[in-house]
Amino acid sequence: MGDLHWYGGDAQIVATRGEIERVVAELTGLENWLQSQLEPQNFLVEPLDRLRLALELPAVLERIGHIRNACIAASDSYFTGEIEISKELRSGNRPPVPELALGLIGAGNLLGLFGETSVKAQIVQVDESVAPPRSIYGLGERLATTAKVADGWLRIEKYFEPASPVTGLPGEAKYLVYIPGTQSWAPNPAANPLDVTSNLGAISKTGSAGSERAVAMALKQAGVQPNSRVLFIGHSQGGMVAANLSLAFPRSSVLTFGAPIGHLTEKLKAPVLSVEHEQDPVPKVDGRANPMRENWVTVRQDIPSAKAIDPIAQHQMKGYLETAAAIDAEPGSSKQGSSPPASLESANLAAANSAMTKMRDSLAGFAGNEPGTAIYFELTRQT
Amino acid sequence: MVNQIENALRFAETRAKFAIPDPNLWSGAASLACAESIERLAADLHLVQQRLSGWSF
Repeated sequence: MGDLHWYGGDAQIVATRGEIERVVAELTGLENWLQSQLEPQNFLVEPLDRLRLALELPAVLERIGHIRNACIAASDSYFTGEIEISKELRSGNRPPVPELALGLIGAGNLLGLFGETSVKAQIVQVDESVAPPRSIYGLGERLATTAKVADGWLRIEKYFEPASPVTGLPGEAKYLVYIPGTQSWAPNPAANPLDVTSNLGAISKTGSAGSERAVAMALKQAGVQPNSRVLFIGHSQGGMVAANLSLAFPRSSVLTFGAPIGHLTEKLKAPVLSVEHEQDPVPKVDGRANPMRENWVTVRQDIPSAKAIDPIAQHQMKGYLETAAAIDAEPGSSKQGSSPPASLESANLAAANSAMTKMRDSLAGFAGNEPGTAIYFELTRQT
Repeated sequence: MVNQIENALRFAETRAKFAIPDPNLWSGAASLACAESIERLAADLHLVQQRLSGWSF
């Protein structure tokens, strides 16, 4: 496997690149100005004092250089993911992808393409006594399996918190919703709403994609309430739908694989773990890097192999399952120890590691330990 | 009488303090460590200034 790195997710960290750059610039200016005090022409005035200053300054200059380099290192580790994405976008202005998608839908409608339709969700199978998933790989693996069972199928699992030892009443219900990616690539709406038309709808406007509306219907049938605890798991289009739907469920969380959801930066308040591959173009189609936010951790994987030049392989769930296993294999936050970090760089890295593993453990353990029920829905368009 | 070098070091001390991160824009363990390092640097610049002003033939 390649390099796994991540950013975001820590409540204690606010970091703006502009402020760190300002600090670095101030320190550089201070360093230059102190050095200018030792230029030969300045020795014409107060030469003995200046000689003494020349003896004192090297140690001071060395410390300024150290602080400045540490700030640059901190900035790099905060923004590595964003820097990598922004490099790809720097050649031009940020593309207004949601608006472009809306325009494409409008133009397509004139040709009878990309037109949204009514949709429906129907229960097709119920599996009792399903073991809860316990890892990011486990969640990804069930998502991949859902996509393989049949086109247009969605899986919702329901688990309960343990019953109260005092009242004996059953605990609160928790739901896991597995939403596959695009399955139909025809330009006109297909019977399966996980299609290109839904891709355009999902990225342009929350609540408009056929697949999103169909999943919302399934949620209702599964008994999900607006205040329910829900973990949405989605790949590609499924990730967009997951993020869009989470806006209506204040107690939800989101796990996405290869999904473009950075454009929801201002709206998305749920805890989010975004898994992306460096060479996967799909998470970048919205033209927005994922933000560095308390509620949002982005894990990026660089796969240094022949697969790296194949964007389709980079986007498939098969590859994302390998990355999910690598995320699970990362040591927990206990690895960081409880003593104060020794340096500016290690302080930042420790905080980022801790945030990632906390988010991972929270999502991996979401379902709890008791068996639950899995309900399969078939999502269809009324074409 | 304040000489040019003392003035220069006072200016450097003030300028160092301007480099302390704004906690509204950068906070967390790294930012705190950075702020503390710069505070110590400013204090050392003040000490250099005092040593030079007390130094005479």
